[in-house]
Amino acid sequence: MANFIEPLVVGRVIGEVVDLFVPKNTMSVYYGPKHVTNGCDVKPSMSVDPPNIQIAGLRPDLYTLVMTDPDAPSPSDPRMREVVHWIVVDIPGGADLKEGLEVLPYMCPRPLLGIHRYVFILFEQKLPFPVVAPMQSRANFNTRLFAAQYDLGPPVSSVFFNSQREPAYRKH
Amino acid sequence: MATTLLLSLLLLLLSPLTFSVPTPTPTPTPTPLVRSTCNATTYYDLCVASLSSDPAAAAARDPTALSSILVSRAAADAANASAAAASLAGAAAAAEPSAAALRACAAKYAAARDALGRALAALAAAEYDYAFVHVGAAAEYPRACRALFRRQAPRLAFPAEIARREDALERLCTDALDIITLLGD
Repeated sequence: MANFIEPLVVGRVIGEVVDLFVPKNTMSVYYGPKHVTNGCDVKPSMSVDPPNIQIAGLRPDLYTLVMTDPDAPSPSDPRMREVVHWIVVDIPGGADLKEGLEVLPYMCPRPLLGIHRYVFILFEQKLPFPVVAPMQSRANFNTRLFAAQYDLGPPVSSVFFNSQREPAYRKH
Repeated sequence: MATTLLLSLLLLLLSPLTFSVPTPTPTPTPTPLVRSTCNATTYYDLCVASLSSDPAAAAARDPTALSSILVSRAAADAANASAAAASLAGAAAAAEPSAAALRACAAKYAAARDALGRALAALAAAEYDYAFVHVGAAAEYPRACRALFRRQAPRLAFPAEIARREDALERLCTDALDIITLLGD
């Protein structure tokens, strides 16, 4: 367990996004052939489309996935923390994320300044997810509050990657 | 002589038709600000065409004003796309899977319109980072609409009308993001 948690502590995901938790499930995240492991680099051009995510576990357990950026607009001035990129609920255990219900569409990473962390947090639901009111803004989202609001309890898994802006090449 | 008179009469009768063909309205020449700002965008021609067609762009004094014009244009396009999807849903039989998908698409494009509205407000308040996030969010909703069709089993054909609007809106949002990136630098 320490091997799983330590990168999240060192990466300050535990502390700035979620509290210390006991991992109870695993998820594998792939952007194309790239397997996302804690602290790995993923270029924005590689993460334009949603990743493939497989969650361990068993049906009829249901899970919620949140993807969030705690470093917006920049790590040195994260006044927009967190910007939420994706919320998928009612994901059956042992299934692909596509079987869940996307309540907030995937928004690909577009880090403008500095190196941003993009964090996936998995929660186990107690019940089927209630209807979520449309979000007015993705900025200043709070994963802890969201989990408390929908009685999700502590996370059961998490993984994060780093991403920074790529140079733009113009034709003219 | 009769032939000449007949020809003259014919020419006289045809002349209103000849000279009544409307001449196309010339496209305004883009201002130096429009050209230099659009030079930083991914879709230069689209940027120039979109801005040049708006009289407000000629009077714009900075890229912020131009970004607002593009975002407004994108918001209008999103609203039109929402209406188009709703119209297509209404034309389909109520029980058809495509009708449900089109209704959901109408809601997605409406959400894109709302996000672009928030981006405009953020631009007006010089909150460029927030504007960037809102436009970025708006740019994803068209894709979410397409994904709805892709996930159906059997897979539904994605309406060409919506595909055209999806492509146009994504490009416009990309250009808007490129310009907003310049702001506050």
